[in-house]
Amino acid sequence: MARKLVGLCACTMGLAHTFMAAEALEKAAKEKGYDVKVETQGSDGIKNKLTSDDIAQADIIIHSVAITPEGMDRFEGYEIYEVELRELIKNPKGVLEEIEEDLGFK
Amino acid sequence: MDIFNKNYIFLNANLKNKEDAMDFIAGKASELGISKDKKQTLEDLWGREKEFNTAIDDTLAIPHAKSLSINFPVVLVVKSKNSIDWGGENIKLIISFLTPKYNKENIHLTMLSKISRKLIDDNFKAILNESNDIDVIYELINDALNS
Repeated sequence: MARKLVGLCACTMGLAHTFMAAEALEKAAKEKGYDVKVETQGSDGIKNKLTSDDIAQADIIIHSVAITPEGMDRFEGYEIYEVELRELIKNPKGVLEEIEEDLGFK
Repeated sequence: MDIFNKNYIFLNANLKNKEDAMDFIAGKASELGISKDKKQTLEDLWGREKEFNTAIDDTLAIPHAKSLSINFPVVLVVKSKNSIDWGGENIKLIISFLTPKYNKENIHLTMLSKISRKLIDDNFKAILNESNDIDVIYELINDALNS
């Protein structure tokens, strides 16, 4: 079964970087065969909201945020990988590979 | 009151540096009635820029602002004749989002989120970088906004 990856992206203004990072992460994770769901907290509100089940079932949880997002309590007790927005936009594959290595997925 | 049209595309802009580019964007926004206060728009663009350099990579910079001076949300496309230094990246393509500080209509913000998602597509950026055809650029951006 495919591994699951969830992400949460939010930048200060919620206009551009949030969505670029979300798209980059979704694309790279799909290419690597993950089931992927990425929540965005942008200026158009919370989209694609992660449920507690999504989070509980995830093999990888990534936060790429420049603000304190809403609903952080959902993530309590889980291991979170924090990645800079710009890094995720520029090099999503490299970010994922580093995390996979850290988790011993390879 | 369009979010995007052919008048928002500027080709072969004669820009020397990032300061020029920011001034150009605020100036055009003011000329086009998008901004009611050029100085304020410029200040808010710089405010964002200082927080976080908006060059994405060596192909694109996305200066943007939410500002009290902005009347309605827009996407502006500026292509510089020469490469300019944008916080360490040499870029020619600038895509700027300007929105009112308090936005009433979510639909426009959703449109901006759609185009943002397209901006990580290397092919999309390559066409924008290479083309100097206003119709091609218009179609590409307009399709992305309405996808």
